[in-house]
Amino acid sequence: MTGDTVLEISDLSVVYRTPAGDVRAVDQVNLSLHTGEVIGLAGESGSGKSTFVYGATRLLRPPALVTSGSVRYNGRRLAAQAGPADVLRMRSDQLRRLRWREIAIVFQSAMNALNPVLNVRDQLTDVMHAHQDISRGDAVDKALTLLDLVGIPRERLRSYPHELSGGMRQRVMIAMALATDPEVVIMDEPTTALDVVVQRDILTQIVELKEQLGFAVLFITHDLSLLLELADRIAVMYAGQLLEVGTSREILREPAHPYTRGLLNSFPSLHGPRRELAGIPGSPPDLRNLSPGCPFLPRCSYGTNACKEIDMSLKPVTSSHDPYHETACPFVLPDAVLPPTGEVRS
Amino acid sequence: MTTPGGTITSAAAARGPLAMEAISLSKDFKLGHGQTLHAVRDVSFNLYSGAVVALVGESGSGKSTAARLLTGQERLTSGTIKLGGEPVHVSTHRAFRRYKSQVQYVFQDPFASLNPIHTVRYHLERPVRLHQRGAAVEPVLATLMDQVRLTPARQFLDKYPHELSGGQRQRVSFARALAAQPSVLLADEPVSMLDVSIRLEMLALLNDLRERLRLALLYITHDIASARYFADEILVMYAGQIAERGPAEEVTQQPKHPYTQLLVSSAPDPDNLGSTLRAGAKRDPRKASEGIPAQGCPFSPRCPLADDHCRAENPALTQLSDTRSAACWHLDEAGKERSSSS
Repeated sequence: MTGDTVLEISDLSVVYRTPAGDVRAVDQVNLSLHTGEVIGLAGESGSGKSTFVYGATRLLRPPALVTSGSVRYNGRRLAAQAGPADVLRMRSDQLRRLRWREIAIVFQSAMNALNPVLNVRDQLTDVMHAHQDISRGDAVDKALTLLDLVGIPRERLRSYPHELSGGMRQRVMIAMALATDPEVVIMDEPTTALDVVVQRDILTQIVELKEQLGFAVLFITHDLSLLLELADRIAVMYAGQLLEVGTSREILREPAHPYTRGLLNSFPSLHGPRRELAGIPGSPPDLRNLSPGCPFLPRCSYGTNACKEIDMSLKPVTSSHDPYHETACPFVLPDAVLPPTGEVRS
Repeated sequence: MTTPGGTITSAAAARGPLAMEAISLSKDFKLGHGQTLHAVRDVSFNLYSGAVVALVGESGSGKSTAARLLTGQERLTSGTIKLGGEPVHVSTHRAFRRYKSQVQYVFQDPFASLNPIHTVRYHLERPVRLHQRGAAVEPVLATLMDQVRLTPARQFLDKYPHELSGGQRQRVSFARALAAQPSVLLADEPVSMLDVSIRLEMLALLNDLRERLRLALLYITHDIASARYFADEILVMYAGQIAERGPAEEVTQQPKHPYTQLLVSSAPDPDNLGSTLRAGAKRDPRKASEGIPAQGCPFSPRCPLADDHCRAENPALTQLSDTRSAACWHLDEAGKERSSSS
């Protein structure tokens, strides 16, 4: 935990209204982001990680509905004027000032997120004109600086999206996010569609830019192995709830939740000796009929009857080196004696 | 240009008899304006019953085109495919059907490869009726469902794809491929669309099917780490050519070709805990805009070892040991740089 809290999301719940009743996509999730920090939000598809982040930034449309919670934004610029503000209660003009200027997003699919009929210069200056008072000439200068920052040759300024490779398009997306010097950059699977070599290149760049410009990053991905390398802290999400939060080191060395352990045993590693891989049996739950208690219970090899009625709030892991390491599982802690991890159950 | 695959022994050969041979396969696509894309260039490999050969490469490397050549979905520009020692000539519908009952393909995306308006039963009945003529359909379906562990079969057979999870859908795709009782299974990124926690189980299932049914398996993937665990032999493809081949563990642990080295060092390494990223790890020297050069080694624009020789002449696959070969002019230096840096 490096700097001050810049974004504090408390008790956020999001439901999807359906004729058959509400589907609880995000259930009372707390997460705070500090300046200069990279937080990784890990979860499988349908775990609610994108819904959570888009809910917190008010980007969801009906039938999604934020039912409770608060999102306190405490950026340096805004704090000087008015103090922390709750994003969920902002008027539309306040929200307009917050968006992109303070919190910018790098969307997953650069192919769809870029406008195919605008060239790189227009995409970048468009963002600046929409959110800042800036002259045309200054905006173009800034666009050139941004291209330098993300490692795209300046002569690409007039290229159209279809003339760029996938990696370059993603870099343009990152440049767009940085165009207004935001305090928080949300990255939603920014490298998922890219080849590993390009992916590493872009991640290195993100870390460099973060060090240089001092923004905080909320990085959403399904790839835990990537987060372990990239993030300062990792939050593991499952069925709309956080199951564990801790520093990358703690998550890797002393995972406290059985699901995190399962995930860590699920990806084959290229480096080091061949490990025994186990995987997680079963498949993620259907949020439409979630039974009470721990949502991971049907797939958990340590589960007991007590899990059917446990309180899913995060509790500190006392044995951890990280004072902020928390888990939702009160039964399996790193110091508890564990049954051996089994073979792949079928 | 390339030494034929005959002299080198495949690391997969120990598992079982030769099932399928791909000999100097090439595929060109005409792009118009007199331009040609060499999607697959002089690629040779063998598939053995009960063994897994992995074709690893990034998007655009030609790995999927190579597989499509084997399925007969694309016509060869040159080269020969042999099945059970006999050259394959797919000239008539009847011959193509016979070929398909031997060689089956599993698609990447289980959400797109199943027809949403038909039940699981429909997807499986058709290949059973086509390829297992005269067999009683119902027991065969039960066996198939059992093989891919969708039990109880009765419960799943009447479901529609939208009622199944991604993993279950991919199991149906496997069952559909197995319905033809193939000897060769070509799996094109069979797990990349699935959640991380399910992938391993699916690979374990494929592995189990390979063993029990003595399938010759071609595993196409961009994920070299999964190939390390799953395959017997790895072929690394770059720009339509084989850059390096050898036993899975050797190729991933002591890569010889500079491209394989780049690929291995780029894969996420959790044990690093950010150290490489934060230290500004060695960046890919390539300018992203540069394409594949018309002559010379296709990897030369990105290669740290490239010199004039590399830019002028394309290296052939050179045999390094009984089971390994690589296509690079600087294999000695590449090996050294690797050992000194690690």
